[in-house]
Order: sequence, then C-alpha cells, then structure tokens
Amino acid sequence: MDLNVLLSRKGWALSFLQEIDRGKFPPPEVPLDQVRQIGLHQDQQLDKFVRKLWGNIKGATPEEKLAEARRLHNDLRAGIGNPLRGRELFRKNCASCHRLYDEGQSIGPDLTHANRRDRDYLLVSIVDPSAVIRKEYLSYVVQTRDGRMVTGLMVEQTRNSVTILNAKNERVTCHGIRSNQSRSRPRH
Amino acid sequence: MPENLLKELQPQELRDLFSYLESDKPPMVGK
Repeated sequence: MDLNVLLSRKGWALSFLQEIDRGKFPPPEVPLDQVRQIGLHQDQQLDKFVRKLWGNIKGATPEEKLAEARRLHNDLRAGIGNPLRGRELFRKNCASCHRLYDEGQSIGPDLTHANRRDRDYLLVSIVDPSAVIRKEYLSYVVQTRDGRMVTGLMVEQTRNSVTILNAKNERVTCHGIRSNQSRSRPRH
Repeated sequence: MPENLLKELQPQELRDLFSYLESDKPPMVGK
C-alpha cells in the first residue's frame, strides 16, 4: 500500500508504526516529511511512537538553516558542476513538484523563470522552502468524516467535496469533509 | 522541495544540481 495512503488514517498509521516498532521495517526508510505527516492526526499514541522511533523530528531552527546554507555555499564554491548530471538529479529529486525547461510537474512553482542566477536565493529556497510560499502553493490538510487525512494543493472545492492534488500529482476528491477541517500549512 | 534534500547529496552532486538549476538553457548531450 502507498505510504501516503497508509498514513492517512489514524488506525492504519498506528498499525504501521507498531510493525516498525517490532522491527519489521527500518525507521530510516520512512522519509521524514511523511513522519511529520503523522503528527497531523494529533494523536498522543501516534506521537509517542514517533518520538520513540525517530526522536525529535522538529525542523531546524533559523540559525541552523542559515549555517546549513553557508556550508552548502562553500561546497558549491569548491568546484564545478556538470549540468547533465545535474539534470538527472533534478529529475530524481525535484521534477515530481517543479518544472524546468518543459519537464517536471506543476505542483510547486515553475523554476524556468525563477530567479535562478541568484545562488543565495536558490539555496535559501531549498534549505528553508517554507519561508516564503505563494498563496496558490499553500498545502492543505483535509480530514474526512471517516477519519481519512489528505494533504496537498487544493485544486477544486464545492459545497460537498474538496479535490486535492497530492505530492504524486494525483487528484484526490474527498467527500464528507468535516467542517473547518481543511486548513493550510507550509509545504515541505 | 523536501527540506532535507541537499543534506542527502554529496558535494559533487550538489554542484551538479546547481550547475543545472543555474543554467540559461537545457544542457546538450555530448557537450
């Protein structure tokens, strides 16, 4: 089962964490972005498992992010890169959300006309992607009446349903939305 | 982008990625 789906319901997420706790699945295999998603359920038992299996998963402080950006800046100045290999890295790590030169998805901003020659801006945007987010790229958390949690960009909303574009560029339409339960949060 | 993306890259991979991100046009194969 897809990990996003597995973590979208409290009960499924708990079963999954119990399996990890029994040693059937290594914690480092679960991306931290998805571990953070578990916290959206606001459940003490789930939070306790997360602390036990992954420790403190809070994001870095502004000072730590600045230090990280400086370290990366030094790494960048230490040599020359190969754009062909860089394109492969872009396809692997970035293209599921961003477009550049007519390839990639449009979940996040199109980078083709972004301020890409400003290295500091580029570094900060990657090290701290939540620092500045345009309204159309805010991520929403939707909870259905039957307890399912879906996160992504809101692409359509009617009186009875909300359609979310998830990180895999799939449209997920949720019916039976709990009132006041669609809320925005920074994308990670 | 995932917050920890750059931490997972080796320094040379970081330079390769930025070389592409900062380019003016798509790289040509064979050049």
